[in-house]
This record gives sequence, C-alpha cells and structure tokens, in this order.
Amino acid sequence: MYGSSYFDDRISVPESLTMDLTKGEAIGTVLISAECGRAVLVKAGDPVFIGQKLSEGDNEEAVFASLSGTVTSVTVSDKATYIEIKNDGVGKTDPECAPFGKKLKDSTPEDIIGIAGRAGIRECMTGEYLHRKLRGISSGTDSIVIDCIGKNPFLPIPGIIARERSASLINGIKILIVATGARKAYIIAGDGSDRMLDHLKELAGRAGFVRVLEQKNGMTEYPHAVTDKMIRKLTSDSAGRYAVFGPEACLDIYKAFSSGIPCVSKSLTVGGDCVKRASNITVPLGTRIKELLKISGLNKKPSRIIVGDPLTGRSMTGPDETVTIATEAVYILSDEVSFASTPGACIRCGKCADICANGVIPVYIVRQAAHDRPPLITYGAENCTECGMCSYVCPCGIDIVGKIRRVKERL
Amino acid sequence: MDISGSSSSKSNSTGQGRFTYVFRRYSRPFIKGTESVRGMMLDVILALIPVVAWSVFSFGWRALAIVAVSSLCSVFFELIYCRISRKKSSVSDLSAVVSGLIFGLTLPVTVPLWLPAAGAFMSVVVFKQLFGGIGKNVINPALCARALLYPAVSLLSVVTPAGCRFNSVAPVLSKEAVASVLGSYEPPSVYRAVDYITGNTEGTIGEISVILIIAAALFLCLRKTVSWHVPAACAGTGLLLIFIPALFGFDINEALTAVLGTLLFNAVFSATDPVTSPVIPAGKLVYGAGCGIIAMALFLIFRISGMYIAVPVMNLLSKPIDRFFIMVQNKKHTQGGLKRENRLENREITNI
Repeated sequence: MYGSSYFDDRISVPESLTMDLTKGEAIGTVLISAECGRAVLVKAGDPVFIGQKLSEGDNEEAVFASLSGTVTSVTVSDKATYIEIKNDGVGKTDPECAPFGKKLKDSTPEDIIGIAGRAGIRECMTGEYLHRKLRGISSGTDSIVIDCIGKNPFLPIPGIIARERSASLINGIKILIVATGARKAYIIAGDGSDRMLDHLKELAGRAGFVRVLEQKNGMTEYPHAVTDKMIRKLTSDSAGRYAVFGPEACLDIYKAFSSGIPCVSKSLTVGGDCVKRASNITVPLGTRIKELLKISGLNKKPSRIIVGDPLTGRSMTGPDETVTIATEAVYILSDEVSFASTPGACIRCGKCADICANGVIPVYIVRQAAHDRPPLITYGAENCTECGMCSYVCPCGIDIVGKIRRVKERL
Repeated sequence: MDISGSSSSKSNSTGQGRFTYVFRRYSRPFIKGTESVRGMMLDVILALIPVVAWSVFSFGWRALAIVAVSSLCSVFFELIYCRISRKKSSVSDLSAVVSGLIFGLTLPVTVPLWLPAAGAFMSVVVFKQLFGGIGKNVINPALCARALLYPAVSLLSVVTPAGCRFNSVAPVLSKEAVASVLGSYEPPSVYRAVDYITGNTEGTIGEISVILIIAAALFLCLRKTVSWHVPAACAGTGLLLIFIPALFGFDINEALTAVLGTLLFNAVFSATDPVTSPVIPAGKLVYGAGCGIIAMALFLIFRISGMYIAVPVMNLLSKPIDRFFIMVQNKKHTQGGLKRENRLENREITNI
C-alpha cells in the first residue's frame, strides 16, 4: 500500500489500473463544454463518434466527442456551451481519425507539434497545452525528463503508467524526442524494490536513449516534487538543459500519432474510506463525477467529496461537475478521517513545526492569524508551500494551512 | 448506491439507499491524521500506570486513594466548571485526568486526603480553566498547585521510606498511626545504587522508582508524545550537578535520596507539558537544562525539592526562549544568504 511512510491506511489507494470505461455502457452520458462564442458543429439528435470534433476551430478551441452516441442537448450559457451526449455503448471511433501519414523518423518537430495541437493534448499537472509547451522548448534541449512519481501518495496514476503502460510510454517518449530535438530521455519513477519496473527498464534498454531512474521512496514520501536538485542528483548532472513532461502526455501523443484519436479520455483514481470499490479507472472526458460515485459505490455517508487528492485537491462544488483533463483523482471521505467542524485549542505540541519540510513554525503563526496587522516576525510563513502536512498531523484538528494562508496575505 | 446532492446548506431528503451530500467549500487538506489530544493524554496515562502500581506496592493502598482522589476530583472540578461557565466540556480529552495523576503522585503517602482534592481544585480551576482552558495556561497547572501547597504538604505530612505500607484510607492519618507504621519498619542506614534504581528509597509516592520513570520516558519518546530534548536536558543537567560533587569526595547520598526521583519524575511528566514548554528543539534543551539547574540550586541552598518551583519558573520563560532561538535562526538564515550572494558576486567578478 502506498503512503505507508506518512499516511495510515484508513484510505486505500488502489495500486493498478482496473477498469477502462471509455467503451461499453458503464457511463450513461457525458457533458462536454465548448468555449463560449465558438460555432458548435452538432445539434440535438445528431449521432456522434469518439474523437469527432464538436466545435469549430483548431488547437485550443476544438472539443471532441468522448463517447459514441447521440447528442441529447446543446445548452448555451454565458460561460460556455454545454453539449450532452448519450452513450450508445458501441464505442465507434470517428472515421476521420486516422494515423499520421509519415513514419516517425521522417517526421519533423513541426509535424509533432501539429499533431499535439490538433489532438488537444494537455499536461495534466499544469493544464498547459502540449503544442505550446513544445513550441516553447524545441530548440537547444539536451534531454527530456518524464515525471512518473506524481505529486503525492494519493495520486498513483503516473507510477501505474510507468509499470503497466510501459510500451506506450516509451513510444510517446520517442515522439517527444523528435519534437524537442533532445538526445536522451530520463524516466523518474519511485523505487521498484519489488521488481515492478523491470519491464519498463527492459523496454528502455532496448530503446537505447531512455534511462529509468529510481528515486528512493519516491511513491511514498511527501511532500516532494521532481525538483531541479533531484534531477541533477539522479542523472549525475548529465541531463544538461532538460524539459519535464508528464507520463499522461506521452501516452496521449502516442495515441494521437498512431491512431489519430484526440485526447478524449482520462485515467483517474477513485478512492476514500466511503468508497466500496476503490479503483483507478479510465473514463471519457466530461463524465459526471456523480456517475463515478455510482460505479464505485458508497458504503457510508460522505462528509467531503474531493476533486483531486485529499491533500492538495478542492471540494466538489456542484452535482454537475465533470471529469476534465486536470482531474487526477476523486476522493470521498467520511467524518472519521476529515476535520471536525470545531477544532480544539492549540496545545503547542510542536508537531507541525517538526514535520514541516520548509522550516516553518506554524505554532506561532496560528496565533497571529487572529490579528489584522502584518506580523512582526514571520516564523517562516513566506516559505510555506501549503503541502498540508501540518494540518494533517495536528492533534487538535486546527486548519493550520488556512491560517498560514491568511497570515501570508498580510505579509 | 447513489448520492443526491444539494448546493445550498439545506439538505435534500434522502431516498432509500442514497446518501445526501451538501456541497460546500472546504479548505484543504481534507484528511486528518489519527493523532489527537486524547490519544496523547492516553499515552501519558499508560506511561503512569506502572508508576502508580509500584507506588501502591511500596506505600500501600493509601497511595492509590491519594491518586484516585486527585484525579477524580480533577475530572469533577473540570466538569463542574465547564457546566457553570457553559463551555464545551473538555473532560473527554483526558487532560484533567493526567494533571490529577501527576499532582497525586507528587504527594507523600501520609498527606490528609483533602489535600489532593484541594490541589485538584487549584490546578484545574485556578491554573487551567481561569487562564482559558487547555492550551491557554501559562504555567503547568499541577506543578503550580504543588508549589503553592508546598508549605501545607511539608507541615501536614512526613516523607516515608518505601516499604512502609499505609493501608488505611482514613481522611487524616493520626500522628500515632504514622509513628506505629514507621516504628515497625526499619529502613536501611545507607541506600545502595540498586535501591535508587528499583525505587526502594524514600520520597513521594510516584517519584521513587528510577527504572519505571525511565521506561515511561522511553515509551513516551517512542510514541512521539514527548520529544527527548526536555527530559534529557533536565535530567542530564540535574544528574551532572548531583554527581560532580562526588568527584571531589563529597557524600551525595542525601542529594540522591532527596532529589533523584523528583528530578526524573518531573523531567519526564511535568516539564514536558507541551502547552508550557518551548517548541524549538534548541529552546527545549535550554528550558530543560534551566529546570535542572534551578532545581539543584534550590536544593543546595534551601534543602527543598526544587523541581516544583523550577518548572513553573521555566514555564514563564519558555516563550521568550522560543522567540530568542527563532530570532537567532532567522539571523543566521539571512546572514548565510547574504554571504552566499557575496561569494557568487565575487566569483562572477573574478571570472571576468
């Protein structure tokens, strides 16, 4: 189980990719939002196929059908145009989606950037469009780095891609190498002490220019990030000028290159102590989160539904919220593991200061939060990255991060 | 199973097999660890149980009566105070039990039974709740009460050697009763090292067994309920000050008998009270050492068990100590940063 080093196992984190729901009848309808003002190419009653373009325009403006079925409604609001598609369960792909005509070795960086743009591929972590990112970095890059560790132990998908989708990952890397003009690639993964990364290493060895680097406790430690220091250390300073990509982007670009299907699905984790069947599932973009809850099943009354992980995510805001490219997980937590509505008084135990990786002393900052004036001594509040560990360990259940944020605003 | 949501604060009615969820904005993080104040207090109670058991074995059932009166009265006064002041009851966090236990264990076995009750009132009501409840008190409630009751305890009781068992639970022990028990027991003329370790010496009921107190300290440190800094610094300094005279040939038996148990017990259970001790590790070391030094100074000058005064005094200094070390850290940090910048600048200049 992940998270053993800091987090107890009250919340189970599934360790492998269990279901692909992009085909079949599991998902009833999807709700896709197109940018406001764009001409919508479909109307209610039209049949659509997976990958079919739904709105006019290229690159950022285009949206695609993530299911095959019938358009049930097109609603225009002042924020966006919402297109609802009812699933027919057939899973037919749009005939216009075709593999890229050239071979990879004959392709130019511009070709790849064009594919990424047409497929609407985005980096999951930052939400940045891949074609824009590639355009920004395509000259003079020595290597590319694929971050397969993920932000924290509650987000296992990047690690799972490294272990279970190794071949697609390596193929995606080959495409990105062409696009960036880099000479080598590094995959940074959590330590595969149980030989889980062997397949990836074998494929990387066959490819030649890809190296798998293992960060000790990479999947269980928190807070951490693939930092410049970590990359320099793991590559023994041989990375040169590098660009970091997420593993999902590699899979998406490979899919777009080899089959022409744009980015229409997303792998995410559904977990939490209220969930009957915690799983990592692949779903069409635009799936309503409440459908995911129906699929996973609930076994007790939820107190928080979180879009993202329990440490850095946000609370679900309404019943129509859907899966977007940035949705990395959905966690449903009960009262037993979440914060009580009335926190206790601080007993100055100092556990928050002990656990902080950035030398912040939250004990004293919590006391400053009640005042309106800017603090005289900052106690390191400016270094806070809001990782949430202080709130997690606080025995009194105080929302320390919220209070630090309030003090930071006054700095 | 499905969820029916509501975006207002009014919840929808639930159907069969459905859960209602009210959509609200919560701030992150959403998950809370298992640690709780109650859990920490429970650890301290667990650590104290062997100490209480040994005190009952050494001093008889009266020891249990004192500890029971002290902790039950603490809980009772906390309950009454919260009821009267219409505050949310804080009995469930067990802090009243802990302070009652600690106060009871710092008393000699011969005290009248109203004294632990009075101490419980002072510690819980006067020094804890009137300051604003748990987390707001400036001085450790149990030790503050003990310090103020010091003259009363000295006047109304005598310190007896372990092995003198008092099984009477009469509210007040008569002088004859004490004399008869003491008369039937013959303490050794000189205590040996093994007596100190096992707790076969004289002293207050909870403060005689070195080995049990050290075991409790290890347990609490391993559970991360207390950090090692305070007990180590306090006991280390105190022991150093006891044993240094031995190097010059002085007899340290008196000091060991009078101070060793009190020093260790309070270093582990009282000085480590998180509310009233510093947070910064360096501050904890200074605070612990301060407790040890003041306690030994008071013993050497006035021949009294100084920990009951040393800990409250250092409690008052704990925040200034913290602030001092935070300032030192900040200064070092900024100075280091400046030096680094200067170095970089120099390097660039020489490169040109």
